[in-house]
Amino acid sequence: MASKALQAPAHRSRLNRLNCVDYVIMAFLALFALLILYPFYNSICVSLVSQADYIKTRFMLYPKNLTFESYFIVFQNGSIFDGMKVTIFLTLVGVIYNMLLTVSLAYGFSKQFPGRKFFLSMIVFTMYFSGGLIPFYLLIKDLNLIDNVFSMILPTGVSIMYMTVIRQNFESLPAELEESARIDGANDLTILFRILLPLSVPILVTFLLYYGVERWNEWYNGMLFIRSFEKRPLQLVLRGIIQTTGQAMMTSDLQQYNITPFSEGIKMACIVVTATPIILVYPFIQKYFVSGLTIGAVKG
Amino acid sequence: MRASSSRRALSGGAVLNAQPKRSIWRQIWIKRWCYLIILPGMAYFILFKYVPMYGIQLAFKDFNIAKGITASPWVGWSNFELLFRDREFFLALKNTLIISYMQLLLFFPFPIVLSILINEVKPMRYKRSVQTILTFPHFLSWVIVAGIMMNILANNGAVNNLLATMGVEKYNFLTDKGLFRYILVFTLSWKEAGWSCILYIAAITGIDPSLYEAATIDGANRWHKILHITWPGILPVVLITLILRVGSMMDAGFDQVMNLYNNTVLDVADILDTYIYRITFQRMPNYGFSTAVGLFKGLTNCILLLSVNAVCKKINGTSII
Amino acid sequence: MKTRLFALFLALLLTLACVACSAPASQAPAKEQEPAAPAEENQEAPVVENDNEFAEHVTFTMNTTSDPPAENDALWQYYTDKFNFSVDWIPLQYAERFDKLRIWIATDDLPDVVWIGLNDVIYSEYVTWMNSGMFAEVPSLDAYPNIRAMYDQESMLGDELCTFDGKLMSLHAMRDSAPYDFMLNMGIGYRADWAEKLNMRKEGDVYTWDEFMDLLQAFIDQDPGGNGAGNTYGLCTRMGYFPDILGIWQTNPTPWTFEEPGYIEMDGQYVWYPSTDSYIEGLKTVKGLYDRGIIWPDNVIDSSETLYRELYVAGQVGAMAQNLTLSWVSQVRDDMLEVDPTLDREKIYAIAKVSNPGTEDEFYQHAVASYWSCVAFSLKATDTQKDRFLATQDWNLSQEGVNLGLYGLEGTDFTVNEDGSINLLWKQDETGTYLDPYTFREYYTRLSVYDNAANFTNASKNPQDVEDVRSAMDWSLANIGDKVKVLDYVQTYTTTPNKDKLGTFTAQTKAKVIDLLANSTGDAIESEWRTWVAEMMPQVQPVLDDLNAYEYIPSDPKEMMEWVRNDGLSQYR
Repeated sequence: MASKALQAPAHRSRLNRLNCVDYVIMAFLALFALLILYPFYNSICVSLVSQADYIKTRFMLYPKNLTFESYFIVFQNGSIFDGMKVTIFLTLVGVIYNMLLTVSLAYGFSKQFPGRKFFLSMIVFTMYFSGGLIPFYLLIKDLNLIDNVFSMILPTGVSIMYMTVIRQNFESLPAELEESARIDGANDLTILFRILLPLSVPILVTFLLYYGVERWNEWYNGMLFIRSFEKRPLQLVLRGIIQTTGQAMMTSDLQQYNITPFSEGIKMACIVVTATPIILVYPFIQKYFVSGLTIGAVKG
Repeated sequence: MRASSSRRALSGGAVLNAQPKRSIWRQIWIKRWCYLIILPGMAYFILFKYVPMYGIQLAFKDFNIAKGITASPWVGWSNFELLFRDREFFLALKNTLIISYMQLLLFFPFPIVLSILINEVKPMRYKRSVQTILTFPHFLSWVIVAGIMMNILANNGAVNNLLATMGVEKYNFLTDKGLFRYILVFTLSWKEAGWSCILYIAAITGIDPSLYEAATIDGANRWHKILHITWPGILPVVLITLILRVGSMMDAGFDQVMNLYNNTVLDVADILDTYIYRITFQRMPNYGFSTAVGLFKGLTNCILLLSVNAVCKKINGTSII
Repeated sequence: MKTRLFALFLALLLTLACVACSAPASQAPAKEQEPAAPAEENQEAPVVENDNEFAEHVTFTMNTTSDPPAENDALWQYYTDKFNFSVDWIPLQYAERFDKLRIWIATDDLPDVVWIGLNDVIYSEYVTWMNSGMFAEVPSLDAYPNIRAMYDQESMLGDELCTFDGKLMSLHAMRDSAPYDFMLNMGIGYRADWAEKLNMRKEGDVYTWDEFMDLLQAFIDQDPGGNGAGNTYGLCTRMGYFPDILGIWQTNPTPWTFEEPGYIEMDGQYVWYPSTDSYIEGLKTVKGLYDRGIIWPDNVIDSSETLYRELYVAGQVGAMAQNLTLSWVSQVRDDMLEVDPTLDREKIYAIAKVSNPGTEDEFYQHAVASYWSCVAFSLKATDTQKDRFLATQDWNLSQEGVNLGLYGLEGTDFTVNEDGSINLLWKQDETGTYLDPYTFREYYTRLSVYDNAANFTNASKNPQDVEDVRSAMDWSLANIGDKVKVLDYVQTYTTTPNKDKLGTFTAQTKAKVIDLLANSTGDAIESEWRTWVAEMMPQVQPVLDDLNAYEYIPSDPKEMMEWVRNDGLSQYR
């Protein structure tokens, strides 16, 4: 196997020649990307024009009269910075918490032990049956977590799907690897950290990303449990901004509003604010999806 | 061929863990660290999922805010009777299953195909950019997607304006009952395919590259490699997502349907979750009733999951439990 | 060895858990001691001397759907110093305002002062809340003459709806004041400039039903806006109001809207309104408009809350039906002038005064509830907290308070002329529109939503808009005022088991109406409607039975008001 891996560069150059099928695939993907990109791009344009311009041209090739009014309204509300602080904290701490719980469960359940099936069933059961909102709220209240940022971290611990995929991944790694490591005197923890985790990097990074984005978009628990404005997560702050502007439009019996903010533009500006950090981080994560750490590499 | 090695790897865990028979306590003692390592995770599930579980009794109770959950009076099956008497409920149930089934059939394979296609792209920069772009719409909420859809398909949307300039009569796409479910599938594919395919791409990345190289030397063409290396490599992940998707057939995407449907297509679009939502909006919220619906949904989903899990286990050894 | 390593790993996890759990424990007591922030605020030299009455500083928690006052909000600074109090605001997202309140009540976790977005929809739920013992009685209003006076207004019901067993449980914000109270403030604004172009504008914008529909038809056919064939629409409205609002002032509105009951009294018995001939007449009228293409076709699918308005502003629609309020009219006009400054303000959104399409007695207009939100006190609220809240709100209703709520600080923001009129000192933009320097006004108007009548004297409003809206409202008062059906308090503000459980079937009815508008062909709508009603009847009947079991079923509005004032409601709660 090792010798074949050595030959790789030679083949790679041969692989690089593109044939007709390659072009068809690339064209198809390009088309799909375009289909996705344009509405997304249009949304960004909407966030950069005035309401008058938006009404005149709903489909824009480029924003004609650039204005940052929508962003101004979003950022003039100082609580967005509080929200960012909270959300960054939530994302960092929350993802570590998620990954620790998920990986430890996945590793444990990748082994056979008496009662394994019982414990697994216990977990799967919670996917389908829950006590509902009121007992949940009372629990958080009893734990003294109301108005505490940890009320947005602790209750969302493990995604059963992610745990199962990671478990499956551990199980599917060649048994010889673990056996030979054991013969070399490695204990379970060494095996986990030195062999299983490095070999599962792409999958782990995927779920790191999935968890991260879920954390980044967190608002529901915040809406339920947070009682001070400065502890609201970013998404809740943005939701508030969108709703307040939308409310000014909708409930015209609220007479005290003197301006009509351009709610469509503000909505889009909020999306840009939310998505930009993740889109910027994504390329750094993406490099882990390129075959780098392979079984061969670990063996060598 | 080479594929056999990855097949074998699938069942590797089971082979390794085959143990000679010993006393159960002895086995538990040997495996004590297994219990230790799942302890934090199990503690999480017990604290946050099982402790509030007593709320399920509300399905058989008439909730009274002053008395609280445990002291509220029992009403037997009357919450379920209220549910099963409503003809809209059965319509919603039917729609939920049809829409879920369509999504399973039409949407579910799409990210898999997409990830295989992306994997086939050779120029690295192209591959990465396409993959990045495809994830963008995940960040648009369904409200926004619904707005975009209106801009495109409504009577004064882009398509109809184009038709009008060509002298063709305008068509109200969004009031067409036959079209609506396909619009659901299409928008779901548009929004989530790129994001879902990250998982499959990660699975493909985990495949030993030497398998491809060896196959190339053996003279395998692209199709053979996809069929015998890539596909078996991602099959376990595909099966797990499949099992879980079938195990949530009763959820056809509340957020999506809620934002995309309108009253003219209600007959074909109303799913269980939107039905519940509307019910609670026009009446006094009845916690007993909504818990009963939740219980019904959970039970059905659970049965579906167990059945498909059993099938998959028989065929391929993949199992959630 | 390996056991030890695992213990290490576990220790790491458990530390994390401990950190998580100890954090709340250490924070919780700190929270109770509080109020750190307000205390700081207080140290900043108070602007006003405190009256003795407010010697003790009071802090209470209160929920809000908007942003709390900014730290540098001079008006709020002045106000809280004046009354020596501070508020710890608790966020309540507008979209979740009911859900979260329900959870707070079910888990006994309410703020001291609770704002409730109360309307008729949740009224029966509100009754159970007030009966649940989670809320405290409101102290006697005798000490707060302005609040008392507001509720004692002749023409409308005040605190009767919030009184349970003789105890006043909450304070509601009045929606409108005399003489425009009880009117369903809906109106059709239209393009009078287009009508002039086609030589079809009527004197004073008064039209009969047919004349107005012909005008809209002419807009579509002759395209005075130059939008190109097929791109001009007749009439549009907000999704939530469609199609009921298309009958403003004339056709049967509203058992379809949330705020209205679905049952009406006929010959001493309650019937389900959608099953009546009158309803079907209205349905056929709207269907006729839809089939003629007068109604904007996307109105049946729109859920955007904004698209219809954008279309109107973009000049693609001839008329738009909406709440007839001053701020709405001003906003639409401002936005249209921003798109095209050459337009004539008065003509771009003129208020049409359209008469009834049907026979005079058949169609009527419903009055709406006299409020849409209220404030209650939780059991936690102390007497001092309640008193401070009431004292501030009482002052808000005084002339001085109204001026502060509308304009700001006397001297900096406005001066009062000798004749009592206001000289506003706010900055103006290039079009002469006043720019409000304050973003937070909620607290000053908590009990008194600024209604049209109050706005007509608001110095910051555009005089042209004031004139147009006022004349439209005066016209409807003079011409259709007596045809407004008074709200049926008996069925709206009472609870019965089946009514609570089954409701008014509003959503189903509305969905079916819209479905048939789009999908039924021509005359079939009547038979299809009757079939559907027959299918629904078994579900509706229990509610009707409940209602018809009432001893008192109102037929005369005056008599009913008297009945409510005499505590008639309490026997049905």
